[in-house]
Amino acid sequence: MLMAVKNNLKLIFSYFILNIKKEWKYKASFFMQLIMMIVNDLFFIIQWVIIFNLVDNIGGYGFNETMLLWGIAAGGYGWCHALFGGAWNIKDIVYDGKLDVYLTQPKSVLLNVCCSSTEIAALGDIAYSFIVLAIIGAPWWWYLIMPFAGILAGLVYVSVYVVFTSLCFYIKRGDAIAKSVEGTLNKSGNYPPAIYNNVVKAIFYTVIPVAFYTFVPAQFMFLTFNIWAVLGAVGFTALWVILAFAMFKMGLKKYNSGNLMGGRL
Amino acid sequence: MKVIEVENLRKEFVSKKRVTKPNGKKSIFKREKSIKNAVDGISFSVEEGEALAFIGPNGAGKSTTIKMLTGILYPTSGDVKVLGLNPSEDRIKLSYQIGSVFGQKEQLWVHLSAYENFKFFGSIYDIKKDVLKARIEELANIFEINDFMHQPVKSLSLGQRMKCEMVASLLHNPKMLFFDEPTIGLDPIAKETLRKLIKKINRELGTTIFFTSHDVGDIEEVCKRVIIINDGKIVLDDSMKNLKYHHLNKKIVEVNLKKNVTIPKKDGITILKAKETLYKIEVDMNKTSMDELLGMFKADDLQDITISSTPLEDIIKDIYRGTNE
Amino acid sequence: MNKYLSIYATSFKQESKTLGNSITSVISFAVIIYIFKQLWGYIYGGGGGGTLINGYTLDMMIWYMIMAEVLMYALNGRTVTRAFAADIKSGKIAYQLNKPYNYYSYQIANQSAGFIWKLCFLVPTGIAMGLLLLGPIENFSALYILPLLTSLILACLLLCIVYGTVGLLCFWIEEATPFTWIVQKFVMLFGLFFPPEFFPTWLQPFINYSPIYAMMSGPCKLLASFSWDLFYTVTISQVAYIALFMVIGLLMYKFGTRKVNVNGG
Repeated sequence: MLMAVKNNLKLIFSYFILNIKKEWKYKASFFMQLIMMIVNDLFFIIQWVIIFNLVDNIGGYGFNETMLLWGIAAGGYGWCHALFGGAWNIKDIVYDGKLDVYLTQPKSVLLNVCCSSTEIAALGDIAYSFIVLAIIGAPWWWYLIMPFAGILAGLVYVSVYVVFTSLCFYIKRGDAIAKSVEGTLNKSGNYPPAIYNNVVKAIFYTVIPVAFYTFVPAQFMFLTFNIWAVLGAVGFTALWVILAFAMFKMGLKKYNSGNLMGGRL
Repeated sequence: MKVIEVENLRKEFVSKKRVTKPNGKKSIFKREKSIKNAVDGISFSVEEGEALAFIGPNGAGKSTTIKMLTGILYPTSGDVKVLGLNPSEDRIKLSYQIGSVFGQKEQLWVHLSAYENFKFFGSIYDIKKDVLKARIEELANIFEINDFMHQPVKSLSLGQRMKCEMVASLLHNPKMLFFDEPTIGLDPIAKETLRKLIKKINRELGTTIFFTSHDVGDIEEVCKRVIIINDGKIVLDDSMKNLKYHHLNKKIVEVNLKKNVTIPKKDGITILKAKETLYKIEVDMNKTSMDELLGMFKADDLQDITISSTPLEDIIKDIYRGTNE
Repeated sequence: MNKYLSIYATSFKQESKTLGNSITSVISFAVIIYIFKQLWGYIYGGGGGGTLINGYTLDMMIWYMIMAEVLMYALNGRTVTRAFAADIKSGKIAYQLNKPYNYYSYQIANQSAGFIWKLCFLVPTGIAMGLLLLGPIENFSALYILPLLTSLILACLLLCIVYGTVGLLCFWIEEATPFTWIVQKFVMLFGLFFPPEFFPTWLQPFINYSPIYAMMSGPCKLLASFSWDLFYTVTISQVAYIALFMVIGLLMYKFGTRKVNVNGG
């Protein structure tokens, strides 16, 4: 068991290094993508400067707290697109019958596919999650927690995407659903939780777990640290990860390896 | 020892097509289900160390079979055992022990060197660093890739790439190697190189080879045993020697001459078609030889000549005819 | 003219094939409108009612946002830039369509099919969201529909021409999309997030006389509170900027093709 965990971590790492090496051959584009992403994230700060000129706080969240949400969201997005960027190719891989290679290798197919690609711009997002901390003048220990929070948020994000994109095995436009859910996750997580009503909050704590993407990590890992809430968040995240693996595995039985799938229909 | 045991294996594909209305237009909502048996109840077994060719025309079910053997596809029904394991249930366990090369689907990352690729495969297969190093060295010597394995794969020639692909699929020391249409789309020289490599793996490393192709030429040199599949069913399971004697004994010669000549009658030489100076002649190699036929023309009279083996489709027809008689 | 109609028909058919994408973007559009409603609802102090911020009621603010998001979703700047850039790289622009105005008409026919298809989804969704979240616009008259649509289409055309002109930079540089991206960010920041009145007084004239006003703020203000005077102002600025960017584009085309001819021998 421990050996398997070690081997899988090694696999994630090998893939990551290989992906970076590949992109590193075009250094100008590499840095361009990275810097553009950071500037992109910085742009949104102005929006909040203007908003918090109109009101002091939104449900207890002022400028700093809102920025923290953005930092965690950027970190989550960044970590999962850097380590598991291949998840966003699942639809194409399944429809083009390109899963074969992964199926002949002795690793979890899902993990293998997810690790197979890295989005360079995502590294900019990871960097931004720390830049935010500097902007809001965070205490030193927030810097230590940020990678952990980012990876946790990233796991929620990628798992949700995989759960819904696994519908691709059954229906042709499965990825449209996944993209819509992802879009909701991506957009709603950046705003102070107080603006949502209870019905929406209920959705955010369950089917579309926006809460565990940003709200819970922000509140209980940074603002008011609470070990039990953190453990709860870890457990909930683990549940989504397991669900992602299960959904993908179920779908895999439907995999047709390019026969009578996608284009040929 | 039997390494592959297949019993009554079936795979069906279900597809839904839009119903075509009487007026020729396609219905938007109504779909009809159609079931195609890609593999229709086949049984066979393979011994350790064998080199087996699994051939058939396009759409015969070769790829579907090999994909069920390697755990890529779930069978609809029937039993499969590869190295004593069920491929779809013990996929991971099995994949440590088998290798696969799927034609046209390259597994190497082209921007990186073959050596970097090998190191990556090392982590896919959990091979220890020193073991991997020794293995790369050993294989590099056998396949003679030392000179170019540190260059980016994209700068290599087709032949060099193929060698590197082979090494990559042998790094984890598989007991069996599966090839799915490895020669498809290759030029004659590359095909020849590949066949030699596969032969080498079988003879020198003792690896069991399972090989699919729609090209009879592929198997003549590489394999000792052959299974022919058509429409999802096995039509022949025999030694290469027998196949050669009974079905690959005929060659087709097409000649275009400068002037009309009369071809004398001879046992084993049949004129299939004659149109002015164009001749299509079948030569039975068991009864006569190519020399005999070619001796009938003056070299100066020849304008154009092609010699080919009997196409696979004709062999299959031939087999059906034989079984019906 | 017939030629352009047939280009138009082909592109339109092409667009209608991507139904899945359209649905995804409509959902994401609806989500963002909902979030904005919640956010501004909170800022306006829940009640909405008569509260005014910088001259805007909550309803005006959200209708403004709806129009802004319609424009944002209707045109994918990168796609437009890429289409222009691709024609330069393939040489089509210089050899097959040797009259610049031909080229512009061809591209606009081509691109407008894309945004008109999207508008068919976005406009009804926008109206539905508005009616659902806010109810009908006060003092709205059926007479306003035509000018509003005119303004919307002109804004789309202008956006299209601006992003296309950015694509013409490819006569001189390899990759123009980073510039598109910068333009998009400025449009978002100064046009989409807030009406011009929310910016410092010294900045407002700059926004009002910039193309951003013609592309974004102008038509959005028109929906938020219609007046014929405003309509005339917006239309004049739209027509003026369309003409200006066409002239810039034609000049770039003239110098650009000369450069291609010299280089290409």
